[in-house]
Amino acid sequence: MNTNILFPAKARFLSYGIIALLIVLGIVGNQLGLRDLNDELKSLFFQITTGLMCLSLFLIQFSRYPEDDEMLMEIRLKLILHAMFVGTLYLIISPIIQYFIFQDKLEEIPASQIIMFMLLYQILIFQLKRYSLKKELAKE
Amino acid sequence: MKNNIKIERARNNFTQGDLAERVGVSRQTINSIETKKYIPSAVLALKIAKIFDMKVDELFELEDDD
Repeated sequence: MNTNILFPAKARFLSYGIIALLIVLGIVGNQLGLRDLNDELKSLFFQITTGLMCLSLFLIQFSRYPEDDEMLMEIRLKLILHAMFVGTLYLIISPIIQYFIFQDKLEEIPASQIIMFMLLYQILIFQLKRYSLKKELAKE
Repeated sequence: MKNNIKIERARNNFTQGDLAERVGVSRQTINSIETKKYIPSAVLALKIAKIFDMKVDELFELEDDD
């Protein structure tokens, strides 16, 4: 099966770097004076960082591994479907938890939050699946 | 779906790795097919059958729950 639609493995390492940079920026952001920015700049900064985070997670999930073939492609495709289901559940359940358990006021969930949740779900399950396949192979 | 890949592999003295290399998939995929955890695509089934010089329906067999 053609796996050329996947990004090269380098994209994954680049994404790890971007995520590490974003985490560092989140930790030292206050010292750099990000809190003092005006609302417009804060919003722009937030849009850029969440955009970069979504892009990085996307690249991590859809970059090629040496063992990538039709079986892993099928697992990836099934995970997209599962992530849609899990993302929809998150969209429904999250406001209920927010309102009834934490008793916060209801706010619209940003699209970036759901996309990140769905991508994180896919990455986690995909890595677990890869690990279990490797473990199974080691038993043989 | 049942298959005789393991038997044919042994008959032809192939390891999982040999077969995987010949058909262009990972060893994990061959192992998953043999243990009935993964049903291969028609193209892959045809490639495997060709390696063993067999017809696809001689190598793969439908089960009642398929």
